[in-house]
Amino acid sequence: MGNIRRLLFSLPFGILVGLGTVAVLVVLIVREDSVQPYKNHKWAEDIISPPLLDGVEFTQVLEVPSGLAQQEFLLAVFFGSKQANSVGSAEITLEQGEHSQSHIAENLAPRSTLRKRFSFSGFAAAPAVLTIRGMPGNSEISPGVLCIAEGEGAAMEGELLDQSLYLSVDWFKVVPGGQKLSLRFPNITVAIFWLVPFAGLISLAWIGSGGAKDS
Amino acid sequence: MEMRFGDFAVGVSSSLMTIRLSARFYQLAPWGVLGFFVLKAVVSGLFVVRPWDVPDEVGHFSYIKDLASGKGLPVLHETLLDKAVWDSFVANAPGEPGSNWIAQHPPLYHLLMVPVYGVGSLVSSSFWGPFYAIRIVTAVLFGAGILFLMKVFNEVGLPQTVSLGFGIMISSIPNHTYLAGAVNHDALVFLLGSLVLYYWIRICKSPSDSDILKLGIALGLGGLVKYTFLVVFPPVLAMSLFVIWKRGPGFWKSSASLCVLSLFPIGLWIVRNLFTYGAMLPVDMTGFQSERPLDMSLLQFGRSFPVFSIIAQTYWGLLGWMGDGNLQVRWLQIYSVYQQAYTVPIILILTLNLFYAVRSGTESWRRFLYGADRTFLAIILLFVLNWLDEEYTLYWIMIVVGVPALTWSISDYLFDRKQGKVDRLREIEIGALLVFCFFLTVHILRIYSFTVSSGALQGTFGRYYLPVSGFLMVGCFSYGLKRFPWSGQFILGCGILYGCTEMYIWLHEAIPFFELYG
Repeated sequence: MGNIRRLLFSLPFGILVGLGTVAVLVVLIVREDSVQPYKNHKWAEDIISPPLLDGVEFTQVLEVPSGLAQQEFLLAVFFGSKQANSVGSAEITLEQGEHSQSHIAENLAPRSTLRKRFSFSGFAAAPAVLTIRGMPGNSEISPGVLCIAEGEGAAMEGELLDQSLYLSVDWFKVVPGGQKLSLRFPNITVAIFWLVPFAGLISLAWIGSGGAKDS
Repeated sequence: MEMRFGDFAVGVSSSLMTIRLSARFYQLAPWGVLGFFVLKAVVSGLFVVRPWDVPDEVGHFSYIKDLASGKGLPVLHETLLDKAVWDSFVANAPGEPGSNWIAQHPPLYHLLMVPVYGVGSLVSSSFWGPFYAIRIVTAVLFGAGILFLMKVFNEVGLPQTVSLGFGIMISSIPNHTYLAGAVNHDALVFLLGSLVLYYWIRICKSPSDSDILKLGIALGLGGLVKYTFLVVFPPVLAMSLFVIWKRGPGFWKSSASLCVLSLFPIGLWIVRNLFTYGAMLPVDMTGFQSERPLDMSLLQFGRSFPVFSIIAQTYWGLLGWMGDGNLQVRWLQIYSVYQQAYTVPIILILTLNLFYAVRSGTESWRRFLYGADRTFLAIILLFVLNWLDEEYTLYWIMIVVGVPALTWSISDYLFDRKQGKVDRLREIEIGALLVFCFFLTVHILRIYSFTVSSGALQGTFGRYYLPVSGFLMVGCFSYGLKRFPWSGQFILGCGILYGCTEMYIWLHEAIPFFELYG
């Protein structure tokens, strides 16, 4: 037992543990895309639109931010309802000329608000039309969308709207996992220099814990 | 076969290389922590964190450049930011330079960086050479602060494994790495805070004249870096003078040296301020005045904002500032899941305190009741005041565990004291906790005054606590860890958790964040 313990907490094995841990973490991290908030909606008092009944649709022209042009991004739409048992589905479409992408969000049940993110890609930094449409089966207890009264740009359009409203939407940039190490480091050598300290600290902790009872 | 690898005795046994862990390992390992931390902060400062993406960096660098180019000390509300620095800062939103609000700070960090600026100028004709040279030296200052904190933990009697583990934990907090690889005086504040704690503990253990002088120098220098540091002065000076008085002979000489060394530097700065501004410690309050100030009492304030949660979460990591050249502040507040990885170990350490305090109370009913009734009162007070209403769940748990843990462990000490048993190290731990609590109280009152006048929560940055983070650790974490037989493994395990979490945060969140706006 003593020999095994000495081996487990030896310098070479400790270095292996540090390097191995960092290697595993790097593999896990670069396999996962990073989603970063890019542009948030304006903070103001939330107003819930009329419910998204079957066939009811709201549209608004949004400006695709230049930093998200021709890239994958997420657009978050807020749903809300004052009904405790609110539930419903909606189709979300973003169109720019011929380029159009849609998602269907089923069983939306905001309590009292709910943010849903939808993935889009390949849009230019130009105006695009966002359409949110109520699906068959929706009723009076279906959720509406969250808006504010004093927004910027084009206002929301749609039936049932009795005042000028602006959709609350958040934009998120999707950074592909494989790019993370090359985003800020000019080459692999620098990236390794940056990773070495993490491995070193983990190694020191590992080796040190072997002598914890002795000290 | 026997071979040498530094001070490690490395042998080959049964064809398997093993290293005999010795006391030398625990003496050398802190230097390893220092080296790895500095390397991490330097590479992050050179390649990951964009220029001007650290709070106030543009002001600090402009301050140093003014001094290095012979323009003298900048004057608050008068001296403008350096034109070349400003042009780089607002690359995407050109305009005329604004005034340098960092001129409000005392000049020690900036003066120390003047020679570094000169060395940096040798490698680059633009200001980028000096800029990155200063980032590198600042990382070394922060690393030295961590090294001294590890010595502090040894001084208060924590096992070397725990000191090493704490060193690794401190080295693996994203905010520390971020602030270390930056042009910012917080690293020097942290180093001097660690030095003050170290020499204060040595004085409390055995007040030698040499340590008294060193404490005076560390306090004096700290006051010349940031006004926040002055908050440490009253409790540390008062407790040090008390210890010197109890020592007996040479009280007047030692106390005079301590007071002169600690107060003279800031005194000179105050005289300069009086001549320049007609005020002792002027600060830029333009961001803290609103036409619609709040009208609320301190109690209402505490019930309305999650103050402790915001301080704690920004201590772990609030990255970013105005590095994209658009004059827009962009923050990356690390997400809740990462905050949990940093906070849960703290909650567990506090739980250890509570466990050992209660266990100590089981020796006798009198002892138990002595701790229990005070703890019960503290909990009642905590909930009657309702200060935790708005706190986030994670930090609510930390406070609700921490308050009884600390109250009971202090009661335990008081009970022993009543019985005539004096534990000098326990007194030091409680003294450190008092320094932290004093700092916290002053800061809460400042946040309250800023918030009321500005109409919104202000001044809650966790980095303000860098001068007292060592005091917090000694005061809050030592009691349970000294009694827990596996404290070394536990804290070193926490070090590994912190290290992995920090790497995840940088690679998965911070690097994409700093690239986000081009």
